[in-house]
Amino acid sequence: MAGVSRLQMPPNFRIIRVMCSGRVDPLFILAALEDGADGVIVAGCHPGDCHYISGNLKAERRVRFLKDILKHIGLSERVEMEFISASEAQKFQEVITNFTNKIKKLGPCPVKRETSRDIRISEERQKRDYIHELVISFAESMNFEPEGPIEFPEDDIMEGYGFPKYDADKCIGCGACYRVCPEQVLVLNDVNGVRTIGHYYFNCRTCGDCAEICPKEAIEIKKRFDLRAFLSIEPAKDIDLELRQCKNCGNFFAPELQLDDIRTTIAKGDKEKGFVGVEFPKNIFDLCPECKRKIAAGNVKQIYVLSR
Amino acid sequence: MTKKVYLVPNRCLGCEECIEACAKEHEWAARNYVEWIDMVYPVQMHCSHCVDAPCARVCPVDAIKTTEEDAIVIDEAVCIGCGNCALVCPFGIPRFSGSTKKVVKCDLCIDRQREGKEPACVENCPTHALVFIDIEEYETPKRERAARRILEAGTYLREILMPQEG
Repeated sequence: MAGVSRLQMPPNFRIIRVMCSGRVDPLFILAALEDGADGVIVAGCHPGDCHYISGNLKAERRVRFLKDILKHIGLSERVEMEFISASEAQKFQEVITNFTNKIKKLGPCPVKRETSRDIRISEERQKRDYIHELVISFAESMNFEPEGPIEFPEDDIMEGYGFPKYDADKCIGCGACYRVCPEQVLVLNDVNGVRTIGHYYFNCRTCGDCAEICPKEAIEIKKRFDLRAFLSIEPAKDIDLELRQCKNCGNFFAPELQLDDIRTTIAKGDKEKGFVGVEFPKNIFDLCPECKRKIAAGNVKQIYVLSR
Repeated sequence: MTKKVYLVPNRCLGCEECIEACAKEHEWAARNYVEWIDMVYPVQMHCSHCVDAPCARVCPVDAIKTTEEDAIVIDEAVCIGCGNCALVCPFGIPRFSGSTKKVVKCDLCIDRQREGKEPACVENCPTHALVFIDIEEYETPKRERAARRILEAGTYLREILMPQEG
């Protein structure tokens, strides 16, 4: 429309057309800044006019979230969201011209890379990985290092950012959460007789599978965005559990709390299922499953000897 | 009259065909074991399908049930992989499957049983060291043999050692 009306436009902007502003992923904006764009505008239809109902509102929310992150890093003026209808030629010219002038004053984008990065995505997790990488890289280039946690207010947080919160009074350390997580967010390490469960904050998309599967309901998904945690590549530690050592082979094979829980379940019995409570002897968990098996097999050896 | 798989130890060669047969039947993850005692005695081990199974008691999601064949079976879809059953089993039989991260154990091949076949390990054992029978069937011949030996010992005592006592 602006072209047809023969309006003057600055020469150094490029338009990338999408069917709806809702298609614009934060990853596109970050990748553009790295690839050589000095500024990015996301232009969508006015609220209420979206052909796809609410695509423009989603875009607005994403850009706002991204700007919050970039504000701390020092790049937030280079990204804007505007609502322009197809017939508003004048407004389009004004917006582009003003933005171009603003960017000229700011100068070239400091996070531009020399060589282009080839980004190929085939699953959600890769996209989150790239966004994470780009934000870390920008923070580094702009010498941004958070001194303490930088929490975003809950309303500003985009969908899908959060983390699992563990209740230390309920968790028995069975690891079902770690095994069910589809995004490899959770980490479980057994070192020196202690099991540590933690999570990689940036990967969690709050699907809630861990909270659902926990047999003790010890996990709650909290919606939260902490920029410092997001910039970290180390997993956050959630919970520490003592492990029991096998008296035969010396391996650390299970958390004490899980074994206690098993003992309690057996002792309690279950009226509905017709299980009468049974008190296990003290030494019943002295051996790991492998040693129990070998010792049970060892008892059979006598039959070989007897049959000679 | 419930049939289970039993091992006749002195027939076992240690060929481990039973492991391969079980693996083939269960998506290449065998649920049985062969433990070598003192490096020379092979002992095949599998789930005992206990009548009052501790594994069924401690499963937090009730994934372990008794079937009509009296087999104790873990329902893979329900299992959450907590490992309680693996820890409580007195014989250390359930194990974590590497691929699914859930727990698996011998299911007495109930799928095969329902087709009228014997469990895969039993069918493939070349020396019939694994038998699929009721415990009574397994014990009765042993009892008879023992009874026969007692009788012989009694006869020996009566006629040769102490013939005077009519």
